[in-house]
Amino acid sequence: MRAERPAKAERFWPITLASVAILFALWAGVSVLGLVNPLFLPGPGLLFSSFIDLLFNGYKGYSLPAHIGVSLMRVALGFGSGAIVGTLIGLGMGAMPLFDAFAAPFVEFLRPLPQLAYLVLLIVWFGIGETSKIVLLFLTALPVAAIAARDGVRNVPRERIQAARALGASPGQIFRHVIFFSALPEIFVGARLAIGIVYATLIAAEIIAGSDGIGWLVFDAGRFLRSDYVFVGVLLIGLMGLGLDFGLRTLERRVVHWAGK
Amino acid sequence: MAEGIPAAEFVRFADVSVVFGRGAASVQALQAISLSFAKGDFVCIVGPSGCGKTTLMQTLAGFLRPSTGAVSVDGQPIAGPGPDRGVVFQQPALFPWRTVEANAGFGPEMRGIDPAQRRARVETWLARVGLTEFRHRYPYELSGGMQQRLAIVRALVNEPVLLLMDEPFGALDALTREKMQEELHAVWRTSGMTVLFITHSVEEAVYLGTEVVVMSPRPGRIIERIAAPFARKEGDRDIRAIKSSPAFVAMRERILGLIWGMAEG
Ligand SMILES: Nc1ncnc2c1ncn2[C@@H]1O[C@H](COP(=O)(O)OP(=O)(O)OP(=O)(O)O)[C@@H](O)[C@H]1O
Ligand SMILES: [Mg+2]
Repeated sequence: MRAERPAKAERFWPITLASVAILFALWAGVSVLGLVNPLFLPGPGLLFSSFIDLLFNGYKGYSLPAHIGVSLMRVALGFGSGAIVGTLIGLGMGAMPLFDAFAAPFVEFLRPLPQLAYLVLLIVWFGIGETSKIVLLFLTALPVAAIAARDGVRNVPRERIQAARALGASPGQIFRHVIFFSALPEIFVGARLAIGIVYATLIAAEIIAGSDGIGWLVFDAGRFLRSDYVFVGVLLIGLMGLGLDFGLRTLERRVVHWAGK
Repeated sequence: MAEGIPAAEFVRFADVSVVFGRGAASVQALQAISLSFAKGDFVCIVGPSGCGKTTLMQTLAGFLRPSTGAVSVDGQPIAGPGPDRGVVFQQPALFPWRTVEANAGFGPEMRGIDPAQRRARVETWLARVGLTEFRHRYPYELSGGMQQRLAIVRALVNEPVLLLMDEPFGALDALTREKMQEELHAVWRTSGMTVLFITHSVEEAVYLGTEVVVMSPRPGRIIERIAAPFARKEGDRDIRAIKSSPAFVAMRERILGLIWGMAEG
């Protein structure tokens, strides 16, 4: 039977809570005592009122939810399309050595390439609007997803495929019913890796080119020394990142429930 | 039975050799194996590790083409794997994303067998090995012994004429192993199926087999074939009584002596 012992992180939640509480207390203490100029470190009260201010009045023509929404939309479109196309390419690469030979140079070249290195090119090609940003994120997610899917296919235990063949499955059935599912856990690992990189790239891309999005908000507020807005933005970016990872992790646990067992 | 095929040649390895790799790095795994046996036989293969037992089975399963020679079943040369030959490995090699039930029904499902018939077969076999109450569970929720039972059921649901088993009980504890031996024996007795069974346990081979085939160290050759009477013995089937009878012990020791002799020689 399955062992039901909770993971370490879950058992030690009081410690996690305490570490956050201690940092919060230090921060509040420092600002109440006026030890640091609020320009460098706005206190909790100022931060909260700035958050409310952003929430009700927006920032430079867009509401806060609109800034967040446009950022999430970019992640969803870029990551979604890149992960899907990349996974399909990777499945093909894993299953067909000929296609692997054909696609590998592009995928392998693209993967270690710093995204911002070719962002400039994308801006030249697609302009400064949405397209260049989404294409950037698409190209960021694609090679990560492709390589994860390819390795997932390559790592299918040989005996699992032999068992399926001996049971009468055709090559097509083996791919759909055995190889695909065997690769799924690695595809998910790749997706989580990809979404992290995509998210970091998005924030950078919004800074370089744009007039909306949560990354741009932080950068723009910084230029005007609104460090309270910067702090609110950074906190939101961090929380959104946690949320994205949590969402994907939950999906992973549900879909590939057998992984690692 | 196909016409003109002698009964004793239902399964036939004709002068089978297997060489892996080329040139200086090549390994001769099997050398000129000729072995035939009849429908309904339970043939156990024993021999030192690395002597080519798995390789031999793979040529019959159709996963591996012999370098020279040919393998045939009922006069038909083997062209590749097929549902007429069920395979069970040492590790269960189940599909962990499928429930117990869906694992068991994999073969008929892939082959497009009518769902009602498929379900009936799955139900019968799961009940027979005591897995009915686990039918909606996943393989990782089963013990090792139950997983291996499921792997065997998955092969049997396909109703193969030949069952190929490569050390299927090798990873089980002694008690579970003996229980599985009894169950497998009962299935074989009632079905009349033909079985090729690889094992490291001479005792297991003598208990289950109608014949024990002893292979030499690499390159694998057949050293001796010994007819074993215990599998077809009528009457009292108490496993402990059979395994401790003088005739059983004598045969077991004789085969062990053969294998030890090779190891020293
Ligand atoms: N794909 C392969 N490539 C090269 N050599 C191989 C390959 N498969 C098996 N061999 C070699 O062939 C020989 C026979 O291997 P095989 O697995 O058939 O032995 P075995 O009798 O089943 O051993 P064990 O009892 O340990 O399972 C071994 O020396 C092995 O190293
Ligand atoms: Mg072996």
